[in-house]
Amino acid sequence: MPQYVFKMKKGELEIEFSSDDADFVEQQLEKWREEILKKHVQQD
Amino acid sequence: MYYNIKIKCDGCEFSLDSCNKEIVECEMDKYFATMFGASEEFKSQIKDVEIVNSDIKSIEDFKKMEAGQPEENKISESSSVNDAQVDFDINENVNTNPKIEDEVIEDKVQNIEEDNQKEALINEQADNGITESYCEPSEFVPAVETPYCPLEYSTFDFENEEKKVQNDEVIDALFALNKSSIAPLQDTENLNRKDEFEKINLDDDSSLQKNIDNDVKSFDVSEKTEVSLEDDIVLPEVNQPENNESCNVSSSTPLYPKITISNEQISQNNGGIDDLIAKVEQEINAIDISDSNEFNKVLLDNSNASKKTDFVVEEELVLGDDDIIDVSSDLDNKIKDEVIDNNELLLSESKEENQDLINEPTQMADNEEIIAQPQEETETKEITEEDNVNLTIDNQESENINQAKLDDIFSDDIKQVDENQADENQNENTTNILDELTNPVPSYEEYLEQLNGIIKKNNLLNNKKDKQPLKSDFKSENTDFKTYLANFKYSNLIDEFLICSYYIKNILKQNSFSMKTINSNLYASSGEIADLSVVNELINLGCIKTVEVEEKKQYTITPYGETYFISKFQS
Repeated sequence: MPQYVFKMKKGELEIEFSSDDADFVEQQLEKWREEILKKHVQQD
Repeated sequence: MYYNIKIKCDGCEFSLDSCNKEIVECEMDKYFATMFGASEEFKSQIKDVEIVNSDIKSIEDFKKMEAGQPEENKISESSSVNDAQVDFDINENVNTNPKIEDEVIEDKVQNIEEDNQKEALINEQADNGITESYCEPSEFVPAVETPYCPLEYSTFDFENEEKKVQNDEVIDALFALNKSSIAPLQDTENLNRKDEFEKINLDDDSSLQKNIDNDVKSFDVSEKTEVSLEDDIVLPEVNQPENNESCNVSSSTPLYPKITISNEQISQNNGGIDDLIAKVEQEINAIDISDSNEFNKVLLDNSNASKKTDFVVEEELVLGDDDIIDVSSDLDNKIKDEVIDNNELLLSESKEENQDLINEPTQMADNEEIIAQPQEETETKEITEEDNVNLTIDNQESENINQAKLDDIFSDDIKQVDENQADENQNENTTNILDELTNPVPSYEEYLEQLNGIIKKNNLLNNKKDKQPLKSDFKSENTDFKTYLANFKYSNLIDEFLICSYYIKNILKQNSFSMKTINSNLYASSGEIADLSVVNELINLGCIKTVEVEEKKQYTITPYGETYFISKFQS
């Protein structure tokens, strides 16, 4: 089974997410990416 | 399917393993929102999920579990992003529990009060003149530690503030007590001295000086006594020289007798030395150097004296054994006879050689001296026969003379050979000069005619030798390859092939050629036939290339080949 690992780090806080559910990882990353893009658009 | 979340913060690590997708999604969205500050829409989309089978609900709980503490402030994971935010705030202020700080402050205040009681007892003892209970001042200094107050806990607390004020009052009181406790610690004697010193300062300078002198005297006496008591060393007295005229060297235990040298004695001694120098100079002047005979006599006397001593020594040594004397005398006589015989032989040989030289008609005038020398050597022979004492010396001299004469003879021979060679050269030169003198000098016209005749002869010879046509001639189309090739100096078949290819293109005006055509030319000119190795080598050099003409493989010279040909053969 493939394993997917994703790490986020901001300051001293670090989140590592790993899973073998490819769809879930994809959805989750897509959701976070859209949120980050929205935030940047609002700031600009 | 498995889902894992790891969260690291401040060296702590939080991990969540789950098979429930929704739980993991909820947790991750929460942390994402806290980290990056998600929008309201995102927050509203986060699902509310209750964690049932897990003791770890937050980082704080995880830390408490690690520390072994019971879970007190359980914060439910219920469900909103704001709660998660609060969780993080609490996590950062773990050590900021106000209850704990109050307990710490109360303990410190109790300690300070106990210290105050102790100090009060000490002060009472000091007032009663008891100084034995001296303690280090550092013990009286209270521990001035500000209560722990983190920045996050910045709310104004009235109770703690009052306690702080009380602490400050206590600290000030303690410092005052320390100052008063310094006096009884000082030595009473020192205090008395201080009083005296103050009195002296009040008096005039004379009294001050007296006191200082007294102090110095007392100090010296005490020091002396201490030295005499402790050590039995008696230092010798050192006397300063009283008179400048004499220098007395004395000591308590002198190793040498006293030496007293006065300046008068020194001056007298100096005068004696001067007298001696003057006497020596007079004696030296009295010697008459002009009469060299006297000087030689003195030298001879000295040398004879030394010889006599040597002779005496030899006699003393030799007289010990008579046999040795006889043997030595016999050997001396034999050596003398042999030397005489050798000398005679050398003289005879030299005579013969000199006679030969005299008989030669081409002898130079220098040889005359050599002829005369044997007579002198005969005289030396006579002398040797007369006086055997100087025989060895004369023999050596004669040998040296003979050797010198022989060297002279050989050197003369060599000189004669050189002179003969020089004479031959000189004779040739003289004959040439005589010829020039006898023949009359030619006129300018005659000289020009001679030159023209020489030039004509040379041209005829050149024409005979070089039958080659001029370049303008052999570049015509009618010239065959043999005459064309004769204008070039080639070393091998490759060069010949290149010349031929150039000839075909530039003279015969043919763009390409086959192996047959080129070999026919080569064979006609030099009797050689080129093979493919020659062709391949020229192709590799880039001088020729293959060309297909009417489906036949032919060759042509390349531009590089033409330039190479011109540079090599026509430059």
